[in-house]
Amino acid sequence: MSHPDALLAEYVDGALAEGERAVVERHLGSCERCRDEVALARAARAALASVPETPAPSDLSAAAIAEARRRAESHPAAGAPPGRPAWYRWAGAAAGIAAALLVVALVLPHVGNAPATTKAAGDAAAARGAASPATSVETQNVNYDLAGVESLATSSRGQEGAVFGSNDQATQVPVAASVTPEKRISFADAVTCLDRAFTDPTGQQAPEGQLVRVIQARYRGVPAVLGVYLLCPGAGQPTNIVRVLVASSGGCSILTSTQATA
Amino acid sequence: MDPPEPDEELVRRFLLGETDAFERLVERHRQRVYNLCLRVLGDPEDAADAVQDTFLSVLTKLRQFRGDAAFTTWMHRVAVNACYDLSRKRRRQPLLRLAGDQDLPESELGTPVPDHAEESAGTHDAVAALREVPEEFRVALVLADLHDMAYEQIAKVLDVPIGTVKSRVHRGRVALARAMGITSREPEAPARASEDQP
Repeated sequence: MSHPDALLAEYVDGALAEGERAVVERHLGSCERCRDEVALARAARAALASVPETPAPSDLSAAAIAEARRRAESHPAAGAPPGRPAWYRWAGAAAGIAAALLVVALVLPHVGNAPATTKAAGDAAAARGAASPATSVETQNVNYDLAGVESLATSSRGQEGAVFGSNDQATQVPVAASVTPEKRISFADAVTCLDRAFTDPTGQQAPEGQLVRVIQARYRGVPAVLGVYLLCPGAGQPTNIVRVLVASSGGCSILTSTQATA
Repeated sequence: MDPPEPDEELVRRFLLGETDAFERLVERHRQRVYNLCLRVLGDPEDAADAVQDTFLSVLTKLRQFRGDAAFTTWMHRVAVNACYDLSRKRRRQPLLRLAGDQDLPESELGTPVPDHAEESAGTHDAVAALREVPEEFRVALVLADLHDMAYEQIAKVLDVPIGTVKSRVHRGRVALARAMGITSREPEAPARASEDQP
């Protein structure tokens, strides 16, 4: 016996036209399997009707919006919509170069000098020195929010009064006492995770810049890996952009990103 | 009060260089996309990952959006694909969960966690049972019965014939009811059951 599965959904919805409904009802009169299924489908439909909508976390779109802004500002010709007049970009580049001398004085001596939250982190920071590539993962018992990540980027460019791993309550979400420290992530896994999360899906291009710091912490409660990258404008110019990329350490998905420019 | 700006107009403005238009677009659809991903994937953290993947894909692919379908249809397709991708990734054993998983909190191991404190026990049954419905049926079911999307639009989202959608929705409903432990009110009579036997 063939069963009119494709009609049963609309029959349960009460949306069949008269002729089709009569066909289905004739079939139901002789098919117990379909009668059972119709009863089950009605019960399921009623159960789903009472499922409420769940409020979405407010920061879900932050990464995409940050990326849209980043593309609009830094890669107007490569995927981001053209919107800035040419003079704007040239003015920005000129300002960046002009600021570079200041950055030399401010940025490099500060990179890695801030207090870390573990001995390993402190050792790593001390070993790193100024703008040397990261070689280990710092573990921080810190729950960052977007402001905290922005503060990390800002402090990495050498802004007065801001330091890595700050306990400033205005920029970090306090860690709940019940938070279980995650298993330590190896440096290679952390870098792979950042690469996986932030590789450009079209260009297959890994994150730009020199990775100078890798931090294992949390972002809005989600176990996360934070990568601090220093970007050079090229042609021997000094670094003037610090970018912080944050990926979930569980699924290697983008959580957020931000950057600070001197 | 002015009517809300159509999605397609926001897309057009974004493609002309207005980043704010993209922000309005994703903020407008954040709630809907999150609930779709949450019900398809069954885990709040995975759903959050899928939503972020969705919006980043939308950002990357928006130039390919030709307006052949409504923006919402196109975006739902991107979201469903993000869910499928994440689901496949989870099945392949993720990179950073290989060792020491016993140290992680339950919610990070993909164990279903209640996502809405106010949900009644019956609702929770339906939400929990949804995870046991085969994925293809579940996606069609979520779009039809939780998002009230027309079968024709679901067919466009999933790029399958409309008959396939209707069949999946029906099979999904039956699977859900069985996963909830609901039994048909009509017990199978031996004489009738034997009719279907070869």
